[in-house]
Amino acid sequence: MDEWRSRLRTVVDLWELTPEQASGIVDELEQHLEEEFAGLRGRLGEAAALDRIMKQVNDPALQTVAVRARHDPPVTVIASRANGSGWRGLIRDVRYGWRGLGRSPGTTAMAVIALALGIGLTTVMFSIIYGTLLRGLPFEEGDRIAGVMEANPSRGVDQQDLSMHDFFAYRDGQKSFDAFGAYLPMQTINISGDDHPERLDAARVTAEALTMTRVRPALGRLFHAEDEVTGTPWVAILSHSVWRDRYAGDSTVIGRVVRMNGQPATIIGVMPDGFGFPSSEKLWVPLRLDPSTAPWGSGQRVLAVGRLRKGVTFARANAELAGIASRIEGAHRQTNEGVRVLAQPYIRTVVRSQIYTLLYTMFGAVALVFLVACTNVANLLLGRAARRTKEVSIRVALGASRGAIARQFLVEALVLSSVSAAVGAIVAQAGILAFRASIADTQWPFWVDIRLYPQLFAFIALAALVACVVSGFLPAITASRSDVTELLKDESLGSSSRRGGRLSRGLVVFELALSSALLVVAALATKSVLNLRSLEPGFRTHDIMTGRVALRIRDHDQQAAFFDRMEQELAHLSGAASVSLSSGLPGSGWGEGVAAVEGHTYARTNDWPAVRSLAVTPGFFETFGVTVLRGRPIGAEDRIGSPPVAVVNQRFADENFRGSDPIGRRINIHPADTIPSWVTIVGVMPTLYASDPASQLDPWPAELVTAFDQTSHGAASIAVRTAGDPSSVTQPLRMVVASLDPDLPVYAFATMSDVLAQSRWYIRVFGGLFVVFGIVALALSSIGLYAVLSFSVSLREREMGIRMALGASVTDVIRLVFRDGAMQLGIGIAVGVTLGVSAARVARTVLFGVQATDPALIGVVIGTLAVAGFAACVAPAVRATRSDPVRSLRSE
Amino acid sequence: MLGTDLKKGSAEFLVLSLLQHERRHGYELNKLIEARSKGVLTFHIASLYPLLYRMEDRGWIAGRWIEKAGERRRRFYSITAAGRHALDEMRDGWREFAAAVALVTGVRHG
Repeated sequence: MDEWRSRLRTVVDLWELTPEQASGIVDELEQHLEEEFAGLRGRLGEAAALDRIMKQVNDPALQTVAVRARHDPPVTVIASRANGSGWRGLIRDVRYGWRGLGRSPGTTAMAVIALALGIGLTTVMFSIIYGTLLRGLPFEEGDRIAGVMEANPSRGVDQQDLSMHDFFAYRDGQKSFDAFGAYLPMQTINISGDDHPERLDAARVTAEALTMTRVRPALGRLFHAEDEVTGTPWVAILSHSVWRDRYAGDSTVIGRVVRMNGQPATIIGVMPDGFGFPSSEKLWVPLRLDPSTAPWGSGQRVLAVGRLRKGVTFARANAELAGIASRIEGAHRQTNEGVRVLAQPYIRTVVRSQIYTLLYTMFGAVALVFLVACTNVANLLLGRAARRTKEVSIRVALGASRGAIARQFLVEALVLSSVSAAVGAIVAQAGILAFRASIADTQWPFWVDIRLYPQLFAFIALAALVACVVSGFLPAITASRSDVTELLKDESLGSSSRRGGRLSRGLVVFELALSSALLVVAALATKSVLNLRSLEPGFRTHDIMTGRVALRIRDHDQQAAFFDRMEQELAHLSGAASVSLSSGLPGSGWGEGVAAVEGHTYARTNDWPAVRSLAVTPGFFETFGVTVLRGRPIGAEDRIGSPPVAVVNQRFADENFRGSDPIGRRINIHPADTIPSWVTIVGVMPTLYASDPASQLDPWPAELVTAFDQTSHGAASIAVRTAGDPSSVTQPLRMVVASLDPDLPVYAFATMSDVLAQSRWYIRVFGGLFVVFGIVALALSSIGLYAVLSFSVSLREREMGIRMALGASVTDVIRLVFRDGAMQLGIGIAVGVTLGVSAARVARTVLFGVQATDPALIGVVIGTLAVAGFAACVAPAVRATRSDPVRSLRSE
Repeated sequence: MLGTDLKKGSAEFLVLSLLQHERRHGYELNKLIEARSKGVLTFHIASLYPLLYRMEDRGWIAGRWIEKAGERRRRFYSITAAGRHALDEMRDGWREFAAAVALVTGVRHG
């Protein structure tokens, strides 16, 4: 019976363990085998039982028992999970992360909402940029289409249209383009002769400017080179929408002769739906250029466009064009000295740089919101990491590598950001729909189509990845750096959580800075929107219907006679209280010019004071409710032949007459559509709102109005003040004009309030977006501040308890918490406000009637943040005062 | 009989389950496994003790020598916090695994 015992000892001795280890193992195994032997003997008999025992002792596998004694690196299941190679390990981490997040649903939901808002808003803004600037022209190889323009830096001209001579020189000299065409965008043409007259946005194009797009007409043909020859019959191509709405989709429209600006023209084609090149035109007619009719450099100027040949880069095309430009410069120094030429992707040449600046500034702003959201999540995860230091340290002690721990946290962030990305996509879709609704009544270039393109999901995925790295990186690093021995010794949360606390406080300062920057911009944008809404333009805007007519008669006397008759007829319109004709509408239609005051001397015409002007009929003052402050308004006596007069506004009077009475003084207006250009001031009126901020002009400038009858006009804006609903006069107005000239359309019908609203939709829309960004950022950073403070208080609960046990009062403890918060608030706000003011300067296009440094607004922002910040301190402070010193100490 | 791999993988699970409520010594563990599995699962010392020592090194179970008056000292194993955690994980995993197997094979419990 002792045979197996001695055998066991021999076997164990062979393992060369320390005596203690060996005796422990022998003891344990011996007892096991003893009991087993006893059991087996009863069932199998002694010999068979002994046989079984000996087999076990002699089993070579028994040697693995010695493994523990040799202290091989312990392999733990956690570590093996974390180290699990490849996908399997990752999937386990994901599952673990998912479960972990599920354990704190509140925190998780908060993080998901924050990130989803961040990702969603960023995607909305990126979709706008993508649909406007990046997607490019919806043409076959649309990225090869170049706009060609000239500049003359030596004369400070950043961009100029090409003279037709230059255009032909480039066209005939170049080899870089397959097609090279000229066009004039946004012309307006009256179409009539078959149905009611209508005014359409049209483009004049050379044949190649259309064929270059490689878009085939839906019906008929495009222009040929012969159509460009002066003297040949006029032809026209319709847009799909005109064909559908005006011609009810009738395919026999091809070949039909209509009148365009009074000239007969044959419809030869219909473009497919959505085609609006060059910007959003609905009618195309040939552009007829004859360079022999004008000396070099004068005559019609045009825009040029071309399709790059395959394999030709913009750089190569530009080099070639520059060569041609310098040849022209050599031959025509007088007109072309210093002229530079530049071919660029088409959209870049036609979208104003202000739009680029605005859109990218907005993107920057929303990226800040996104960063705030990431910071918030980083904070939440840091908090979680700190609460889990114990778990982490056990894992590290059990052999999980730091990389594995870090990966665990990153995977958790990845799970979070993936869920958020899915929610964010929904937020983005909702935002895009809202944006589309808000711009529905505004005109955008034809290629702009803002939607959630499939490509944008790549952007969302990228945003999620960034969110994951940004929000998971710090927690991962912090957690994996946990000092194991320190932590295991310490029964409390431990040193790493304190480090995490420091880090997260830093993050909150960062977050507060970003939020206050955004809030500054948001507040300025809000103020702008409010300013616009409460704007008192100085003239009546309600109960006024407006429209515009453009005559095709060229003779001044005939034009004057026509407008005279029209005004008289309109005055008899039922429902019309008063009628005015003017060169443009106040608020958007003021002309720009300069005026010299008689008796003043100016070195150059450039030194003449700037003035904005309107020519108006006497009815202007009654219709728009403008009363003169001194002198008299424009009257019925101010006709051709009588002395030309003007009414200036208060600002013009202040700036140019400084206290002396302007009435009776004469001014010379340039450019002059007055005959002669010297006019006498007969009255002074209040300053009227002249232009929206996008024009970069002063909205309250020096202004003057002249007598409509004393000036020459081919077009006029009609304004009818009504007793009731302004839109009720639309049809009668159209009929009055048709009775005078059946070919003359009235277009641009709009109530006066819409006219003002239209010109500022972008403030409403983009200002509104800034407001949304600001509010989201404020909410996120307040939550962030709250989370961090309450977390840091929870870490210091014991300290607070002890302080209170040692006699600190409730106020002392509250002060302690608030001091912490105030410090972060102060730094964050100071940095952020500075940042925000600089950002607002860049985004001034959407500001109206407010300075970027408006002290009152900055005060409001600081106040709001301070209130939100301190509100976030209250709960943690109260909790701190409830710290039970006894409990705190016992937990030590 | 069960395949070696399956048995190996589930051994830790079995040991942790048996230690969940009280401490036991090695022979007792083996006996319980054998009895509860109706003889399907049995361990030789060459597989049981390396397993226990490995689990102890991992911190899942803790072995202590206990000496009672008049008896030889005896090594008892009890479950640790980490062991409980691992046990929870294994139970979850097992459930998922069993459900997945059931889905694939159509085999159901009960």
